[in-house]
Amino acid sequence: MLIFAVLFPMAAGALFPLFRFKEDKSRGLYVMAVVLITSAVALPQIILGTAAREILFQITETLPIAFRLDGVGRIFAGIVAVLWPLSSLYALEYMQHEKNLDAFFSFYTICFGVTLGIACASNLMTLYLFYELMTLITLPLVMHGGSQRSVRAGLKYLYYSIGGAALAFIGLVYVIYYGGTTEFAYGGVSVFTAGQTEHNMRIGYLICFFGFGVKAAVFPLHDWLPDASVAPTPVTALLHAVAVVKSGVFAIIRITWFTFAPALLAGTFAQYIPLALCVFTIVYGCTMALKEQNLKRRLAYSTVSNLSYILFGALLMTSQGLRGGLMHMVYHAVMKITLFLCAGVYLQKGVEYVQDMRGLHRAMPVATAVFALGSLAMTGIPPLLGFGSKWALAEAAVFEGGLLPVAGIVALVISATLTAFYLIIPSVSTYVSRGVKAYAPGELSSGWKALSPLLIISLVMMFFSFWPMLLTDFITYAAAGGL
Amino acid sequence: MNGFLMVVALVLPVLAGLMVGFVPQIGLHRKTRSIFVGAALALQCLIVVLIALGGEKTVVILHLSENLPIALRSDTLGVIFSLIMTAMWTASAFFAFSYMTHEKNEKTYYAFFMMTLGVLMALCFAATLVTMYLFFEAVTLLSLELVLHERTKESIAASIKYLIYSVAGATMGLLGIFFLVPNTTSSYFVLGGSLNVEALTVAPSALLGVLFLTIVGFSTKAGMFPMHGWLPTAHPVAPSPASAVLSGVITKAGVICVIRVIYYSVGVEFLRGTWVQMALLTLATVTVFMGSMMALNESLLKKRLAFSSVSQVSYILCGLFLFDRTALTGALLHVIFHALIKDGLFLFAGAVIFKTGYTYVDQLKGLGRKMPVVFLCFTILSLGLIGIPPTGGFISKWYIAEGAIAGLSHFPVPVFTWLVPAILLISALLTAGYLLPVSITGFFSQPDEEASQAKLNEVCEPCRLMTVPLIILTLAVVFLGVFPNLMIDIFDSLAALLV
Amino acid sequence: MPTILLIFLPLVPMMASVPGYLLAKKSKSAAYAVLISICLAATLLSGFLFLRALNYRFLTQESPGICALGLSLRADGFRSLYLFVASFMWLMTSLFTPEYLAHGHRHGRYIFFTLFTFGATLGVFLSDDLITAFVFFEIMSFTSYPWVAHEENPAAMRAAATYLAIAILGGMAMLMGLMMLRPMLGTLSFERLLSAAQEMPDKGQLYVPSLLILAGFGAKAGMFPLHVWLPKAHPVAPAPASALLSGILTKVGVFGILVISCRVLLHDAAWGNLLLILGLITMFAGAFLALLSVDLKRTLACSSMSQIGFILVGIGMQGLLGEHNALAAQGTILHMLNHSLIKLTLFMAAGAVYIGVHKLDLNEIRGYGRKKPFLHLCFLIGAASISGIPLFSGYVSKTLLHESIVEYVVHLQHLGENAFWYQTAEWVFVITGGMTFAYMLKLYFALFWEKNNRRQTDMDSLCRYLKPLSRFALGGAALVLFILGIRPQLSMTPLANAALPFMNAHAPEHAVDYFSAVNLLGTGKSLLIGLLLYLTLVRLWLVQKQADGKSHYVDRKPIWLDLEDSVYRPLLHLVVAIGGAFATLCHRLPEFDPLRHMVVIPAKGVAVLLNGLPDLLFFGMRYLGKLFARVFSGLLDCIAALMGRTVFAPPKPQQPVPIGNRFTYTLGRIFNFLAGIFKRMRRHSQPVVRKYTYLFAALWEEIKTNFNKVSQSLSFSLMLFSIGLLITLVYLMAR
Repeated sequence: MLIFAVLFPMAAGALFPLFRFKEDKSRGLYVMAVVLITSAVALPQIILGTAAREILFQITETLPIAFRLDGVGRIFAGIVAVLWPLSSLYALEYMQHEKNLDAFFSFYTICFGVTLGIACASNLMTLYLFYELMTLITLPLVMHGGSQRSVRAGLKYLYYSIGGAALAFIGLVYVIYYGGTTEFAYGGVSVFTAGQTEHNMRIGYLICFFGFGVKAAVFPLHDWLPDASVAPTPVTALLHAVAVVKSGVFAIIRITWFTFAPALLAGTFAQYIPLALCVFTIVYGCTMALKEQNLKRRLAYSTVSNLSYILFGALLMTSQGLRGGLMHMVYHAVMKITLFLCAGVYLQKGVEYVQDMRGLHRAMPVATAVFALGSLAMTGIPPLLGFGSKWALAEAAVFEGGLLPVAGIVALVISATLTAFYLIIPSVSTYVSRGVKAYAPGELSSGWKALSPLLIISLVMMFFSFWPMLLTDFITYAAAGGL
Repeated sequence: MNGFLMVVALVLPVLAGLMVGFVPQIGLHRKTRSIFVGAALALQCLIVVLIALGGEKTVVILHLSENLPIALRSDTLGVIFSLIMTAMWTASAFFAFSYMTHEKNEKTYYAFFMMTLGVLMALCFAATLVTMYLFFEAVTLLSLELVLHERTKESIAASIKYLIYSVAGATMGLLGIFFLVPNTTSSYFVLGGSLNVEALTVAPSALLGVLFLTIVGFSTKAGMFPMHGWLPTAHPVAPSPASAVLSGVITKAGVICVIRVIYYSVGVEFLRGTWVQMALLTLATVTVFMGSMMALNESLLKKRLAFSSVSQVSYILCGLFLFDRTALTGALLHVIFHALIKDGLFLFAGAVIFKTGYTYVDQLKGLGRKMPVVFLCFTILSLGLIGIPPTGGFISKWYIAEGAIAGLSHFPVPVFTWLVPAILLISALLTAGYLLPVSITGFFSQPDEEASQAKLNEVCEPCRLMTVPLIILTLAVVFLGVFPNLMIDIFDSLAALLV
Repeated sequence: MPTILLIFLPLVPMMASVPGYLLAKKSKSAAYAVLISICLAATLLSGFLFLRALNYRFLTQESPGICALGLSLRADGFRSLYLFVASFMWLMTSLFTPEYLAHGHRHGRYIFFTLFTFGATLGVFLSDDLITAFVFFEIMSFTSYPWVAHEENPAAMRAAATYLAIAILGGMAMLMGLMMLRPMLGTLSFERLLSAAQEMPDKGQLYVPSLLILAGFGAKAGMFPLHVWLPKAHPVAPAPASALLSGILTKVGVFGILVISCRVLLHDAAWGNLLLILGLITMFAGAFLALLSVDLKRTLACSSMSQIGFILVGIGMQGLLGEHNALAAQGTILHMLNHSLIKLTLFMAAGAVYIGVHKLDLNEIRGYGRKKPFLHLCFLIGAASISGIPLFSGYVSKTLLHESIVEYVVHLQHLGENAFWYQTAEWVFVITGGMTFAYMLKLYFALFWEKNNRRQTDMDSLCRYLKPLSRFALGGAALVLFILGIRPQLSMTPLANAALPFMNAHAPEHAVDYFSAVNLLGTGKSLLIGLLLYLTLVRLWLVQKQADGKSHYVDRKPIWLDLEDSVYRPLLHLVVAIGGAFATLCHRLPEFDPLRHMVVIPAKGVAVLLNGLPDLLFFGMRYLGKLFARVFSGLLDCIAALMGRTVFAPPKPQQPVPIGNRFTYTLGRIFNFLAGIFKRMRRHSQPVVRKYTYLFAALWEEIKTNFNKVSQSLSFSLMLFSIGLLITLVYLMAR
């Protein structure tokens, strides 16, 4: 059934141009139908969990392209399957006035299948295949605007991703050469731990880390993400908050925990270099966000910083750390997509820069309220979502002890403060300062199709803030290697 | 029963605030709104008194994660603080009923005013570090509106500055909580602290550094030196009843957090005699001196009172950082007296502004004769703050100074033993320097040019609703000054348990 | 008699002050009636207490709860004596006030604060431990402020400000002293104080707290370093108020000093010497200032200061004489008593003059008393007894003090040590006695013998100058003074003996024969000196023949000697300046602008340096303080402002560069600049101007075009791919 869930949207997307939809209504119906069917198929398997391993085809007898859902995979697939339909609904409303929508929506749905493919990959080979596909599929989405700036942004995204893929490929070669099989197994592929040339393995891991690190926007390789924010909002919201960047992080979790054994990497330079980079990126992302005046670029930099939260958790090499990382992966996806969607609503009404947000609360009450709620959650005010994951990360780092984890906690605290400055203050000034012109109440509020996903996601956010037990128990189970 | 009451103490004001905010019948019509707010506050006082009389109960509201409960507990410290806070809130609210008539959008003011009270109650009764942090943040966000109520440019800038400082302070506090919760035996507050020093997951020197940051972070609200920048800018722009509450009560939120961190979770033995205690003492004494010196050179009345708050609250912090039983009793006493006195002083400023519009000290020439009751209350209250015997300030300053001499006698750095009491007394002197001229210009001097002389003639005593809270506060300060034994016994028994 | 009564003695006047204030709004006479009745009741009660104390039945009362530290009151010999004197003086002055303030203003306020101070003073005299004394002392110093500020003119306000500042300073110093004393001795109550002090291992520790407490009480008594407020405050205060200020409030200060000298540091030679020196300076300075001033009340004020000096000498001698200091103890008590009553009479006489003429300058009030026998008599009694003329009360206490000094000199010679210092002290004592007689003569002759230059006739016609109530007050005070002087054995000595136990001293072995030859000779010496001083100093130097041929009193008050304006106020301003600089150092930095502060202001600083070094010391320090403050204060705001300008500054929109891109344009300008300098150095025949900016821009364009050409070509990506392969190959080989 996993194969169906992965291949059906890709096939449906590919067939899209054949239908040549005239008016938006039918296209919208078709897209929503495809996406809903895929989610309907995928969600039960994610929630119940299937131990079955389905092989698509064999490249060589030892390298199958196969799918298998284990704990960590189910979390990522769950995020994608839940959020994709909502953002597609939002995209339909948002993209009404744009041109060549067929191409856009076809790539949009194919990308859904590719992301599910990454989530359900049972070995590094499959993961690498869909990882490469992801780059190619998302390129036209980033360039969709057609303007000179978005083309240049697309090219930059392409160069970074190809460079990253090359490095990842080298890592894959290491794994196949030394490990024999690339099958994911919690605690690393058994052969590695046999203790042959660990030094080489660590270098291989490092190269692999920087390969997948491009998509995970780690410091030196993060530059493409802010520029990619010129893409239309559904693209930036979904891809850059949920699918693309999260697949990078997911891939790093896979290679750290399921291929190169954490036991092999803990305490060595292979842990310290990436960990130091993540800690620096956390602070760097926030400072750059504070500098940015363009709202979407600011949110992009905030994503850079938050991705390193997740990596920081994963790289602590303890299951508690992984639990914190996975929790933040889920929470950040929910929070960041709300903010991006709000930014999209603002952009439609011509509000692009942070200064223009003043006095907007009378014009679009719902959007500003959700943005304020999202920014409070992002800063980590206790009852709301952000606090839970920050707390788990910090707790894991304190139990770890040592210089870098403590530095990580300090970075967490600094970035929490800076997040407050670059998110709460704009949302406070929307309510408080006088706008550029006096808006009539409800003057700029947009249609139900754009607002309904916002409201649904913020409801999900509030639900998880007050009753997080359901989710956190499953994540703890998954972090401990459960299927 | 008591547990349920605590939740009601949290929910009632918040609910009242929301109703004032969103129900137009209550919110827009001034008469019903005043009655509604007055009734809610009266009920709140009753509830807090009932909690005070009831025993110590714990109630868990919700679980953030399996070992992170959001819980409330009615222990003695929480009861003391909630009593004084509710009393000050009621006094300021009754004053505000008549003062706010010439301000715009009163509805939002009262809504946030009531919600902040509810959250403050929860802060006092917080039973775990995380609950305390949660409500500490909530107090900042809800009290923001009190500062920027007038929506002028500088009041918004001041509120943004207030937000930045408070959030920075709160996150520094959060840093400490990250380290403290895993390293303490029980996640609940324990009298005398519960740090399991043997099994520390982090090096003690690192933990000391983190604790220093935490205490400095939580002292932001109390306006200690490095993080005091927001107080003199935020308080003058707020409307007077709001700045009375901001200065008198919300600074105490910072104080209660510092007490909870030092005395209820870390414990005094870990910090006694370390560089952290010395650094904190230096910061507190520097703030005490700086606050009073700045107040001396300040001519705007409310800004002068704001600087005086900076100095007096650091007085309390100085008492706390001495880790000595008498000093702690003195600090708790000064919390009560400073809240009473500073509330009164700001209400005085409000009455003067409401009646004459004067905000500068030298404009007050000759006003004393026209508004004798208000100025007499001001004089008695400022005598209290200076520490003249019959009023309360003397007792708390006496206890803190005695605690300082006793506490610091075996302090590693000898210079502290006489420096701290000397600074405390010098600042008492300076307090006289910046408070007495106000009443002297009020009573004894004549306005020089005739314009203000003419304006002076038609000035009269403010209406009953303004003077009654002021008089009650003055009587309370004098009464507690002369018969403070009940209070001292309670505080002393609590201090004995803590140090 | 129930002991609870003791607490009523201070409380009743305090409580009566409120009705007094309210009544004053309606009818002044009713308010004064309240004032007088309260003073009368207090006098009777304290008289009764004094009679009980005479036969050694004392009353004590502990009330632990009040003010958290507990009030304890006790009425033994000395204290009830002084309760009686205080109440008597309050009664007399309140009888005198209605007429004096007849057309004054603010009666309600005056009555309110007089009653309140009355209660506080009684409280201090009754107190049985230092904390109670401190509590009432602080109240008294605050409630006596409106006396000095009564007239509300600038001079009054300035004097009142000094009075308040010194009162607060003294209060805080005393609080500091008490706080240090309490842990040392464990207790502050008067009985246990002595025993605790005796057991102290080394007495050296006690000096610092005692000094601080001495500063506190000394400020109120007008002791030398802190006397500055006295000569300024009394002339501006209303006459009855200044009578109480110098009569009773100074004695409260002395009461405190007595507690320290007779309880904490009993019979301590070093402490005695210190008090002796301070007493001598105060005595001489006071007399000197009194002699040179031409204002009636200012002379009386300086004379109070000098008499306090006498009392301090007495206390000092008590310390020095040790066990047998009976003479000094009796002298101190009697001189306190005499001085209070003398000043009551003299200030009321001055008040009477003020009522008539509303002036106090000697030239104005000359000859006022010529045809007024009653005023003449009262003033004469007061003047005579203060100058120590036999048969008047002043003579008794002055002789006792003089005897104590002589006795100590003899005692030292006995032991063989040289008593040179104490002989000079004795001579200063005699000379000051003379100066007292001189300035009293000055006042007496000016008021009652000389003629007024202008208004002598209408002055003489003023016969009905005092109402019966004030006459009774003035006459009563003078009468009591006279009775005490006539039969010292009968009246003075029993009073003294009743008060001795308070000072831990016992009665003298043999009664002092006041009228013995040697005592009379000593007094005669000082009176002679006084006459000589009057004839030379006053007649020749103070009185000058003006242009219109008439003699005028010239104000010879030395400006530089005025300690307040020459030392204290500049010192205070300096301290506030430094404190202010430090405070701004901790608070205000947002305006810190690197360019203006690092370049412009130091230049101005240099200019200031050049044109005047002396004032640079004050202003420069404040200036540098502000500059340093700007750098360091408001630490957080500074960091935020700095970061806001650098790291977090929003990216400035790139202005379009005229030619080429930013890098080539800046490089080009640098090269132009260098070429320009190079050209100026060598006088080039014809300037070759080569615009480097254009040169570099062209170069950049060229590089960019061929780079584009290369990158479009497919080979480029292949080249990249091969480089990648090469690197891996090299690595695998090298491993």
